[in-house]
Order: sequence, then C-alpha cells, then structure tokens
Amino acid sequence: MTIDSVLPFLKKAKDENKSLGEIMIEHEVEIQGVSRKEILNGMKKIWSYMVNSIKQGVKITKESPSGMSGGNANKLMTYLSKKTKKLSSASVLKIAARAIGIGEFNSSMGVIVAAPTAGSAGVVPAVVYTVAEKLNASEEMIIKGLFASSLIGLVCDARASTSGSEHGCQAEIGVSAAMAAAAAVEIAGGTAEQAVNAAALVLKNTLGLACDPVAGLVEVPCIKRNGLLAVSATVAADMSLAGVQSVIPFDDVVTAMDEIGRMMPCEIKETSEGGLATTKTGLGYKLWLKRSGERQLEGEDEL
Amino acid sequence: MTDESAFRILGPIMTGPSSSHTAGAVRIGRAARLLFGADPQKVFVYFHGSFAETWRGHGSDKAVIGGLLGFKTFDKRIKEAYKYAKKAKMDVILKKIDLGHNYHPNSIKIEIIDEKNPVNLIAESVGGGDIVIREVLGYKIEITGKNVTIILRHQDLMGTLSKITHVISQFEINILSLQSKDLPREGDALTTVEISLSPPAELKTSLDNIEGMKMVRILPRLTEGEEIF
Ligand code: SF4
Repeated sequence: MTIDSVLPFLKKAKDENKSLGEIMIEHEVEIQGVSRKEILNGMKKIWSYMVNSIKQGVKITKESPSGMSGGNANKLMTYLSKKTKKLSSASVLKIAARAIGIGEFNSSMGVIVAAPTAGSAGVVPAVVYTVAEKLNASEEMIIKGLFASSLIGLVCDARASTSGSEHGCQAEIGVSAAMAAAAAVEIAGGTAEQAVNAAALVLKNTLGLACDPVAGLVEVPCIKRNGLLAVSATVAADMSLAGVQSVIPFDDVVTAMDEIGRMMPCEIKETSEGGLATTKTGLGYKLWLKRSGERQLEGEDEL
Repeated sequence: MTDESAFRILGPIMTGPSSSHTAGAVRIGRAARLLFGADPQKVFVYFHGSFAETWRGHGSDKAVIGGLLGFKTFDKRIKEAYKYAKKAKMDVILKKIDLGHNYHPNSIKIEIIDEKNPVNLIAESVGGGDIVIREVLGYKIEITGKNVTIILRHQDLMGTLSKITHVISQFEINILSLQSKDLPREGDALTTVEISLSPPAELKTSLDNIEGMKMVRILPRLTEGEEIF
C-alpha cells in the first residue's frame, strides 16, 4: 500500500483538530505496530544525524576529491559573521549555508540522512534547524515537523517519483523543498492545510527542473541548489502562513510533476548526457576525473 | 519496511555521496566478507562500467573496503577505510574490468584470496543502495540480500531438495523462496534458499551432513541493523 493523496490526512487533521505532524505520528504508530515512544525515538535518531551533518558541513574548508565543491558553506558563515551590510537576512543566509554544508559533507563521504535522496539531503535539515532555532521550538516540535514533511515525500513518491533518474531534479530537490516547507509550517504552529499548501507553492516552482550533474557526481548543480531551494521553501512557508493560496492543490501539482517528468528527455535525467554536464567546462571535469580514476586503477598513479 | 513509513522518505542514514556508488558498494564489500566468513587478508576488487569511471568522486573504493571490513553503510570509519584496512592487515588491490554487456553498468567483482576457502562474486548496485549478487564462485545466481540466503552446491541426487527443506524446517525456519539449477558439466546442482530468520550455527552442520553436499554458505541479511524499523 502506498499513500497517493494528502486528502485523507488533511480530513483527519481537520476532523480531529490535530496538526499534520501529529496525524503522521499516529499513522506511523499504527503501521509499525510499536509504541509511540519507539516511533519518536526512531525520528530522534534521524534528527541527531541531520544535526551532526549540519554542524560538520559548515566547518568544511577542504575541496572534495573532484575539486568541484567544498568550503562554500563555510564562506557563507564567515560572510555572515562580518559586520558588513548583507542583502538577505541572517536566517536566510544560515539556511542556505547549512543546506550547502550538508551537500558538501555528503560529497566528502560524511554520514547524512537521505531526505528523500542523498543529493537533496540538505534542504529539510537546514530549514527545520534554522526555523526551530529562530522560533525557539522544542525537540518535540522538530520531530513533528519531520513527520509532517514525510507525508509530502510519500505522496510525491507514490504519485510521481523521488528519483532524479526517473523524473529529474524536481523529484529530488523539488520534493525536498516541498517537504521542508511543510515542516516549517508545522513547527511554526500552522494547520495541516497550510503545511500542504506551502509544499504545493514551492513544488510548483521547481517543475521541470533538470538533473544534469557534472561528471555524474552529486555536486554540481546539486549542492548549491540545496541552499537556494531551502530558502525558497522557507519563503513558501511564510507565504502560506500569510494566507497565500496555491491555486493548484498539492495532489494536482504532484500529478503535473509526474507528467512533466515523463515528458523530460533522458539526457537530463541523471545520465549526465545533457545540460550542465555536457557544457565545455562540465565535459572537462568529466574527462579529467575519468582519466585520473583509470590511471589509478591501472596502477600508474598512487591511490 | 512498509511503503507507507515516514522512514522510507527520511532515511536511510548513510555515508555519502551516492546511494548506488557508495552505500551499494559498502554492501557489496560486506556481502563478500560475509560469504567468506572471516577477516579477508588479500582481496582483488574490480570496477566495471560506471564504477570504473566515477569511483573516485563517489569514494567507491573506500566504500567497498569499508564493506570488506564489515562496516555498515552509516559507519563514519568508511571515509578512512584505507587506514582501517592497514590496521586489519587487509591488502586490497583495485583494478578495472570489462565484464561485457550482460552486466549492469554498476557492477563490481570481488575476489578474496585464500588457500582453503577463496570467495569470488559479481554484484550489481541497482539503485537506492540495493544490490543484487549475480555470481558466486563462478555460478550465476540472483541474491538481493534482503533476506538470509543459504547457498548450497550439492550432487544432483534424487531427493536432495526435499532433504534440504526438511532440515531447514526442523529448525522451525520459514522458507521464503527456493531456487535450484543443474550444473550439468559437474553433475551438481546449485540451490539457493531464502529464509526468514537468522539460523543457529547448527543449521550449517546439518546441511553439511546431507548426502552429496559439497558447499554450504549462509549469507545474513545485508541491511541488518541499517534500518530504523
Ligand atoms: S541534479 Fe540530479 S543528482 Fe543532483 S540533486 Fe538534483 S536530482 Fe539529484
């Protein structure tokens, strides 16, 4: 059985006057057949790994083995600590830095939580962490936020896909942004309707997004995209809390994502045969990596 | 894990950067270790297809070595696998291989060198960290490692299969699937049995005692301890 619509959960939340996160916790207890405490502990474990990836990511100053990433989260945090005037607010820049940091931690073989995938792992933790920090939210609220986000991911997975190779990056970072928006609304005390609406707002904005990673590595464009879409997700949460409605409801947006995903050519679905991956610069990185890797396997270069 | 679980979307906890090229590679390495059943001393690892091209950026080398050392996909030590391999006195040689078009582009071949009990396998990383073992000791098979799998090579005698199922059921273990095929040249058969529980050590002995049994290998569930529920 899969969950292919948000509607039964929205109805339940409304009828019982509960938040989306609460409804999802009750659902998890039911399907796993274990105690509420065990379920919450499971998510606390997930959260502890997410927090660790945030803390490690912003500290990275070394380049990844490909030379394409590393150190940018740290640059943003340093910029933030300076007294100069910034164009964006401090929390916006922290969200971007933390999401990018997780992406950098991931490409340096750090331990991360796929959310929904490794390439999109930065968005949900960065938004949840920063929003919770700003609102002084308890761990309990954070856990509820994560559970609220899971419904969004599950529906995207059942109705469309959460894989770049099937539906492009709309299905990875697009979905993670939608999940993060719902989590942010939950943590801010919004209703289930508002959480799902926020997810619809930001997901619409990622439809058609190509997956064209340079040299087949989860670095370019993935890492910085985590940062920029994490910011979008947070703004979408604010928009929803302000009463801005998505004209197209969430389920329909996911149907559109599925349709667009099917129409997208396979060159921009993780094959690295188009887009950024086949630009002159992109191909240059690919060739360099392939050559140096092969030389090492043949024992010509030190490992 | 059920399709409806939140932990399918938030998870797994894994060493980056890639579920197929890193997490999958860890499991392939661990599968080889588990089939060998001891600490490997000398290992050849062959990268085929996209592994040969992108292993460096994905850290697939450290991932396989971590697996050979018995690490799980979320183990921090994977990043420093070379250091731990040295400590464990495990010698790993990486090579490139072309297995041909019949193999998935994300395939790895592993040979564990040992006088008494050498192991070799070919496995594919099929996405999301899932793997399929395609060949063990030169025999074509199909094992996902999602359940405990028993691999048996025995003489192709009448009634051997029913003896096998009888022995397993004596341990009150459920059989989930059973596949058997002839190896005509040797006059043997290769049988793989997926079971629901980790068996007690005596199961191996009892299977070994079946007439005409030549090899018994038990591969534990590869995702053991890697999932929240
Ligand atoms: S561009 Fe492709 S590989 Fe990168 S995060 Fe998006 S879907 Fe994943």
